[in-house]
Amino acid sequence: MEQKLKLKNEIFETIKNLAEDNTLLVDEETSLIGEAGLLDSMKLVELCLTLEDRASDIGFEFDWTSDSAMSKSRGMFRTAGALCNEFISQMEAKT
Amino acid sequence: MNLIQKLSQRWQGLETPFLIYKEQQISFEEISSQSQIDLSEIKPGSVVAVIGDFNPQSILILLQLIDLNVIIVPLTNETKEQHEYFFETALVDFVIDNGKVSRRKHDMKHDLIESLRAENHAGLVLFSTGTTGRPKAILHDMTLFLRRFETPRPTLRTINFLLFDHIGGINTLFHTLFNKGVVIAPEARTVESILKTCEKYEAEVLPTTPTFLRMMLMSGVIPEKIPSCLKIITYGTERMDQPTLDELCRLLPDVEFRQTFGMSELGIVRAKSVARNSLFMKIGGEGVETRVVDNVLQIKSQTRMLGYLNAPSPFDNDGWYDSKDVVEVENGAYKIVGRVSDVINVGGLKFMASEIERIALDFPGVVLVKAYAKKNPITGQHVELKVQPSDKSFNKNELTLFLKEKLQPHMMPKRIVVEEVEIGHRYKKV
Repeated sequence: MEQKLKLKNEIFETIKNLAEDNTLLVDEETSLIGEAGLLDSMKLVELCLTLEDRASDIGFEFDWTSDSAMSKSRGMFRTAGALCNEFISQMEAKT
Repeated sequence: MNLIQKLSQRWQGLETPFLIYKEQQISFEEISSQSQIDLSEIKPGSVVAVIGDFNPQSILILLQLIDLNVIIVPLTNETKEQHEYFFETALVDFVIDNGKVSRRKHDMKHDLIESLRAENHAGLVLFSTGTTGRPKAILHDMTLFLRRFETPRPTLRTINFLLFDHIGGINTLFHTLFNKGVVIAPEARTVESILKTCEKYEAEVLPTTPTFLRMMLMSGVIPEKIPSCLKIITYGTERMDQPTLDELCRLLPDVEFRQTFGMSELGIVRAKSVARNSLFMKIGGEGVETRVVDNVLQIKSQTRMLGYLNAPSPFDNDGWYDSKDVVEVENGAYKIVGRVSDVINVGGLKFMASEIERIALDFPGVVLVKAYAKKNPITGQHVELKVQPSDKSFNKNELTLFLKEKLQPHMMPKRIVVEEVEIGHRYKKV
């Protein structure tokens, strides 16, 4: 439980850094893309690559580019919380 | 008159060596009068793989096989793990390795090979590097291939850097044979060994690849260890970048740099660099036509291959070959900026991988780079970059900042990997 929380906070921090705005408060409900989204498409790619590297440190492969990832990509990239949940659920399934 | 007789006549009375191999200066007469291996089992029209190098025995076997009107598949030990695939694809009947002939039984036929047999012409099978799939087997009519060498042309003392299984290597061999030049076989294809050989045997021409030249720059031997006998350095088989060429031209002001342009599918195509420091070149020659369609170079050549043995014909109905090379055109000269497959598309914005490589090579301490596209579900593709630095003082974060300053955001590599850039046996980036 503690690890999950730590990971979430780490991901929120990464998002904040990518958005280049330290005053931001990133939480579960923060929109990543769309009208109120924090990140443009290139930043979102960078975020996913950072998650890929983080997953590799933990010992699993974070899949965001396969066909199955593509089919659920809309939902998974919508909010910071949705992306964290996807990351954690892949981690639990693969480790 | 067969080929060996014809060449013997040309070389008659000449005392100059034809080949310098393992410190020996060997005349054409010495090559042609070596004890020949028994080829009596091999009949005209057979497909024969020869595993060799530019040594006296392999050269004589090659000439003997041409006179026997067989279809020759020249191979080297460097590709040993692929030989079985090459034998099967080229429908090889005999393999000659280390002077030993062995038979391979199969009951396969191929229309293109049958057409050569019907004409009683010798053939030549060359394999592509296979960067986009398995190597393709390229079949040429050897009789037509050799015709171009009938026109006398000047020769210089040339290192045969390119290998026995490469159209450039075969071209250097025949050019020198027909024009009574001197070909120098390198002992090893390392920077040190090549330069030592150049100096020892007063080589005037060094044909190389851009990767080899980059390795030469990286090893710090330029300009001190470049012998003064070297007049011309040619480069081809892969795309050259401007920073490397500029650096070479600056460090070696007395050397002529020439770009070559060859495609095994088209035979040898004549290319002439517009200037020693220019990547623009005129492409043409007898029986060669060029045109550009959607920025891609297309070529029509009378010396083209008969076809692939393991893939459909790449020529259109009018005989045009799509080179897949993306080019810029200036006053009728072409500059290759990349391959069609090197076009990266990030969220609909297209650019060449070479544009990123060119900038990255400008960063101090970077010696080899490879930019490539990775698929993703957000922008379709993004760029990743492999970097090989010259020493441990290289700082990835500084390179990232340097690239950020010079590249548009969509062109910025989203991941930079520091590792050795892989090089194949033909001294090209894999």
